Amino acid sequence: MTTTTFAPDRHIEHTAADWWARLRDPALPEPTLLQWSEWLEADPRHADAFDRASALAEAAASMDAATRAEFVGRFAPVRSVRRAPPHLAMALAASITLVVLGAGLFLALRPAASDAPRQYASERAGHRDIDLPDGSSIELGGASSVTARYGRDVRAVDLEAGEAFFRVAHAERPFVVNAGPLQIRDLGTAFNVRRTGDRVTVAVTEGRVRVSPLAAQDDAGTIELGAGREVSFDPETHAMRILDIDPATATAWRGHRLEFVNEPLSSVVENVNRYSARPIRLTDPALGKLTFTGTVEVDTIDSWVSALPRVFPVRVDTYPDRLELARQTTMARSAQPR
Amino acid sequence: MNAVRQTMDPSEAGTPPGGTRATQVVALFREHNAALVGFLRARLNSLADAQEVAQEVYLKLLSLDEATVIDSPRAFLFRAASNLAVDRLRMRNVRAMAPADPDDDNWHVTSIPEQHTSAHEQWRDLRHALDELPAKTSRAFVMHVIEGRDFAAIAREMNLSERMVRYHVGNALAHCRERRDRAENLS
Repeated sequence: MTTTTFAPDRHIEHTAADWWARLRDPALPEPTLLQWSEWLEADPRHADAFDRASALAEAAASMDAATRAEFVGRFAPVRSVRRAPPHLAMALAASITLVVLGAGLFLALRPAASDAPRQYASERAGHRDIDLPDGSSIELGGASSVTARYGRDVRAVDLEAGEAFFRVAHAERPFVVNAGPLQIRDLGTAFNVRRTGDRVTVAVTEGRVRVSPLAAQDDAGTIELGAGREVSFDPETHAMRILDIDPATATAWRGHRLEFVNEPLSSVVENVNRYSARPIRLTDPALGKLTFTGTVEVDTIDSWVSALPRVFPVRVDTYPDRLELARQTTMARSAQPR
Repeated sequence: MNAVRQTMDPSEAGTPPGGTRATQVVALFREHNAALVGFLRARLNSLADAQEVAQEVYLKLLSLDEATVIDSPRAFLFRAASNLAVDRLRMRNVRAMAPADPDDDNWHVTSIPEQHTSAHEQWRDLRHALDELPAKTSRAFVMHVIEGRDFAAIAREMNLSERMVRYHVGNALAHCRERRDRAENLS
């Protein structure tokens, strides 16, 4: 089964934290609350992740007065001058920090060094083209989000979820994509990044990139990847698998097709759900371990789902608001509705 | 999950057995208690309060006239919980009490005793995690979660939409949680 205890699913944790924040809104509409209960009840890991997020928020709220004052002073100081020019103030703050702590990539990544971060997200089944101020561009797949944080020394983009195709304009400042456990550094190029929780796949269509696992020290584990190559990071084994690919395959989503090679079904479903009008759910986490190779046309997801029982031991249960894949077996389902 | 364990089962709440209302409430409890307590936990930012208010919700449902028809029991459940949560928050403001009982959180509880971190370390780790975030994200989190200010007030002060404030708060929480998990798994 899954190893959630030691490798909490980042995607679930993120969604759980997002739900926590949404539920804090006193004006939350009723249909959203029904969606909430559906999400929580869909998978025992959801409740677990939500409990953990809530526990952290509760702890933070109950810190002692002295610690609270310290946090407020550091992160949310009262601005005495309401209309202080923000850029000047930030630049000043940044330069003081530089003097005190010394320069470093970390500081360069802080938005205070230059422009405010800009966040971009696409709708489910949506596509979005983003033109960045330096001439680079990002094409976002369905239900995907990125934050661009351009600093003085580096152009950083965080891929929070989903898939994006980057076309990078040459400049002195390096262009870096942070995708969960991986960092991708562009060496003059166009490349595609798909992030499904902590499972990240980087495919290069032009030029070269350097891919580093964040967990590794120094340059250990860093891989340089040329056009026509793809690397995928497996969060369970921390292995980086390199494949030769047809660049057209990796960016097929731009033409409304999703292509997968030996991808766990859980990850496939999560990606397809970025386009599906009705979310697909796996009722049994063990099904997520099945691997899938093939093409999903995003316009005909339902027919793809209905064909799955031909290749996998699954049954499709259709509901007005969702499609469920259940294990098809004459035996009772594995006895662990935890 | 532990939310379910500690909550009173309303089927034991002294209602006439076999009443249709009681049956309905028991079914709601079975199916949606975790979502109800989770919702209240976020609203009140306290598990203990969430469990108490959840019980009030069930008692309120049980006390309804048998003739009252509830179209969507689940929607009714959340509506009742929403209202009771507002009352609870009001009561809290009147008493000006601390946001939560520190004994209720399991922030510092981990399965292996060696991993127990001192209060100092846990706040240091949280500070480091917040340091890694964009300034707006950490600011929104601290204003909302630590200072206890509502989204509308933060939105005005930061000149953002409430939706963006909420977004920043969720992101910061996810990031801090992730850092915390990583620390727990590595140590």
